[in-house]
Parts: sequence; structure tokens; C-alpha cells
Amino acid sequence: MLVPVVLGVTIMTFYLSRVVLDPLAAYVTEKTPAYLIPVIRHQLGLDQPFYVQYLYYLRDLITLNWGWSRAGHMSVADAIATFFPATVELTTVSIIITLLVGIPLGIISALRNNKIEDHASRVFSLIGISMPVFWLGLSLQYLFTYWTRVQGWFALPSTGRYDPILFASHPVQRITGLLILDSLIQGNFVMAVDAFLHIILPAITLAFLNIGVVTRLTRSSMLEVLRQDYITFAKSYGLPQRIVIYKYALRNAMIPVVTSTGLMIGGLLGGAIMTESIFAFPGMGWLSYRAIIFNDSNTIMAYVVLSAFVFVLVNLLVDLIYAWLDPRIKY
Amino acid sequence: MKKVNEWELKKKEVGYALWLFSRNKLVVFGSLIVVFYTILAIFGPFIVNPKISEQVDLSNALKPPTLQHIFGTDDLGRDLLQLIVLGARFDMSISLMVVLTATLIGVTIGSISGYAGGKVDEIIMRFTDILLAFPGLVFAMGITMALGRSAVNLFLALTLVWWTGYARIMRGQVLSEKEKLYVQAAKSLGIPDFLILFKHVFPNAIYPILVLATMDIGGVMLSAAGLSFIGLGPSPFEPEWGQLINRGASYLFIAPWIMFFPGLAVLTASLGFNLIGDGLRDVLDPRLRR
Repeated sequence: MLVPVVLGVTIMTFYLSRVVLDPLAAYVTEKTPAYLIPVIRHQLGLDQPFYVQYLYYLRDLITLNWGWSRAGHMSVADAIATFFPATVELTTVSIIITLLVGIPLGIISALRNNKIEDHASRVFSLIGISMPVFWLGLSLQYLFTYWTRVQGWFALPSTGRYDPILFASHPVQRITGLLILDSLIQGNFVMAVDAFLHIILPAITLAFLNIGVVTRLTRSSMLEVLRQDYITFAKSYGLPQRIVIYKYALRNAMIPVVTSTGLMIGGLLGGAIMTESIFAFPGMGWLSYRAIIFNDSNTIMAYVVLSAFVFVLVNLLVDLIYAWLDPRIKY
Repeated sequence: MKKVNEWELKKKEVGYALWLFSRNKLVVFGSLIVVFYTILAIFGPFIVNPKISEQVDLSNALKPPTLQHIFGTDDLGRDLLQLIVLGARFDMSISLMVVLTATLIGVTIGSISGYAGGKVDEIIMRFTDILLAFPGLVFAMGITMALGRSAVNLFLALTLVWWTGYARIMRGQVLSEKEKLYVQAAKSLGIPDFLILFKHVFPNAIYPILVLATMDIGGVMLSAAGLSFIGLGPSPFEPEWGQLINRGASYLFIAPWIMFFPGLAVLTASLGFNLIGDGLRDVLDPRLRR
């Protein structure tokens, strides 16, 4: 199931990057002597039939020979190693915020079904799915890094992943590439706090859309579960409401939420392009934004392939969690 | 005689649905928004100066909102209000066109897949699996980058990304309808497959598609504006909301209005469609009518 999808993904990206986009364009300008063009074409293997070229492409993918990233001034493989952890960190923090806010809101709306809290959460989530991420990001940036400073209250850092001056005095060894985690492992709380302050605005920006989705989903599946016989039974058995809800209902109500968390990754990897470019947060999304300006298709295609792989992998993981939450499901 | 009764019944049901629909304040609000932006999209060039995006006036650049320029001016001294009014045409039409095309393609392919079954179904579904493995916005970015930056390629990329959802839903609907007795009866009467599909199966399967399509218009609008924001949209002198926001991003701390008002337009327009879609789901799903 997984293998054909992954192969299909590589065929699609091969088609986009080697057939639609002419790889020759990277090496040939109008000043290139005409007799050199067939030579370059041959050296790049472009005179071979497409299936042979595809095998070369696949070989390059597996051996991490992904080409040169003009936007990152390094090879694409190095660029991914350098920039991707930041994106992973950002999406992870964003998912944590989403679940921490979305699930309680969903439970409240389910318990206060059709009351004022419920309607408010509905409007809030509709605004959430209608919100342009890039606009929200810019607005938050304006409010919390500029406006609050002008008011003399406080100011969050507006760009970057950490404060370089602080980093010089409190250096962090790179272990996982996740800055917050690395600082915590090394007991460097100054940097952990600094990294957290840098990540909070982009993470909220990314989380905003999904909070509404998770709220609605928790609400509807909670309502569904609360109507089941075993909940009525637990209630009539005299179990306190809190235990009924948190021990018996919530676990089953979480199943669709877990599935949706997997699907969220896709949106987050897309939203990361805009969010990271606004907050100059040095991840793959930021690099892709630069790659668009530099007309650097190697980096863009690398992000496309990489995000598809991550998306497939995460959803596989979600299926496994799903089976653990609901033991009736067998593979 | 029987025909008339059936017609009356249909009319009653549609009337009931419309009544439910109009009772929902959020839906009415959403409809008003959509009508407003539709009017702007159609009549925009007649309301404001259609050549405003070329009227560069650097002496008037970055002016904050005043009575003369209600939304202020951008970095080239152009009146922001007029640019936003003109931008409605691009953003509204690309979202509508993408969703319409995607729905048509998706519904057709989904019906064929579900109705034909077997090998055909298998191949089509594996193909949608592959397309669905890509995160939508990232994939659209890759396609637009490969095809070259233009409004048409943006449309093609978004359509290519969006049709799979409709194919999936339509296939599921057709599969569940196919086994029902009325389809079997029609089949045994010798009615050709495509007639059964379009006259009987299709009307019963269309509601979820309708809800998804309405909500998707808002989603496509966000994606189109987003891709335009990162520089994959139409040319800089074509008024478009995402691009205006991108201009504003460079002047965020000295002229925040440049990014604020176009963003507000994207938010409200997309909200309008989502409000309608949300209400539509409540009305069309009888289980939720409580």
C-alpha cells in the first residue's frame, strides 16, 4: 500500500522536475555555444529514454544527490539537514498548541451544546478556517512585536529562531536540530526560553486554523459518544460525571481527532512557507520562499518530495495510533 | 397525475430547505457577503478607476487612511480602496473557476470509478492516492513553479490539486447508491448505465458535493491568495489581494494598512462562502436538523 504511493509520488515529481521543467535550463544560457548543447544534454543523461532517466532520478533521490540549492548556497541535501529541523519544531509546537486549546474548547462546546459557548466556538472555528495565514502572521507580528513595544508593555522577537547575541554567550550544541529540545537537554534554560519566545508567534499563526477544526471535531464526536449506551450505563451506575467524561467518553471521542491531526500535517507544511517567510524563521518553508525568488526549482521540488514523504509517514503513524486507541481495528 | 404529486413534493422540500436556510442568521450574513463581493467582482471596473493599478504617484506613497483615501495608499501611491475593489475580480473568479472545474472533473471521474468498479476503479483510486499524498499547497507551489508563474498556471495547479476530493466523495456515494434496489430495478429494465447514473444516482449523491464545493471556494481563495503572496500569482500590475498583502509586508511597521485591508477582504470573502457551506451542511443533512 505504502510502496506504490511513494513510487507514484516520485514519478509525479520526476515528471514535474525533469519533464515539465527542462533541467538543461540550469546549465545553458543564450550565450552557450550551440555545439555544446548536445554534449551537456548527453552528460546530464537527457538523451536517454524517460524510463532510464527516471531510474537515474530514483538513484539520485536515494543517494541524497538532490542537486544544488541556489537559495541556500549549499547542496539540497545539506539544506534539508540544516533547515528542515526548524520546520519540524515549528509544526510540532503548533500541533501542541492546537490540541491544548482545541480539545478543551471542543469538550466545553459539546457539554454546553447549543448554548452561547457552543455558538461562539462555531463562529470562532469558521473564522479560523477562513483566515489567511499570511495575513494573521503579519497582524500578530505587528501587534506583538511593534505595537506592544510602542505602548511600552513588552515585545516579542519579530524574526528569526533565536537571538544571536544571546546564543554567543549561551551556545547550544546541535543534537537533534530542534533548538528548544537541544537547549533543554543541555540544561540551557536561557536559550530554551529565547527559542520559545521566537517560536510562539509563528506557531500560533499556524495553529489558528486547526484550533477551529479540532474544536468542531472534538465537539461532534464527543456528542456522538455521549449518546452511546455505555455512557448512559456509566451514568446510571452512579459514576461521577467527571469520570464518565474524561475516562470513558474522551478516549473514544479522540479517535477522529487523532486522524485529523495526521491530515493537519499537510496544511502545516504548506502554511509553513508563508509563516516562516513572514517571521524569517529559518526552516524549509522560508527556504522555499527564497527559492521562489531565486527561481531555484531544485529546492522547491525537494520540499515537494520531502513533504509528501513526511505526510505519508505521519499518516502511517496515525493509523498505528488509531489501532491502539480502538482495539477493534485490525490490520 | 403521479408526476404532479412528485413535483409538488419536491417543491415543498426545496421550500422547506430554503426556509430552514433563511432562518439561519449566519447563512444570511454569509450570503450577503458573497453577493457583495460578487457585485464588486462584476462591476468593480465600472465603480472605480479600472486603470488604478497603473496610476503610480510616488508623491502620495504610503499615505495613511484619510477621507480622500479611505484605506490609504500603497508604496506606489495608488489608492488602496480602488485596488482592493478591482482585486475582487481576480480572487473571486479564480476560486469559483477552480472549484467548478475541479467539481466537474472530480464528479465525472468519481462516478466512472464507482460505477465501473473493478480494474478501472482500482487504477483511478491508486492515482488519487498518489495525488493526495502531496500536501495541497506545497504541491500547488511545485506545479506552478514547474509550469511557470502566471494566473493560468495558478488555476491549473489548484485545479489539479483540488479535484481528487470530489472524485473520492462521488465514488463513495455512487458505490453506496449502486447497490440500492431502485438502481437494480432500473438496470433490469434495460436502461443504459449512463442514464441511470445521471438521472437517478447523481441527484442522490450531489448534496455532500455541494457542501464541500461551497466550503472549498473559501479554501481555494486562501490558497490562491497565499500562492500569490509568495510570488506565484499574476503580474505585479494586476490588482490581486495576496499580492497587495505581500507589498504591505515590506512596509509592515510604517504602513500597516497596506497589508491590513486586502487581508480583511480575503478573510471576509472566504468567511462568506464558509458560512454558507456550514449552513448548507446543516440543512442538507437531515440528521443535524434539530
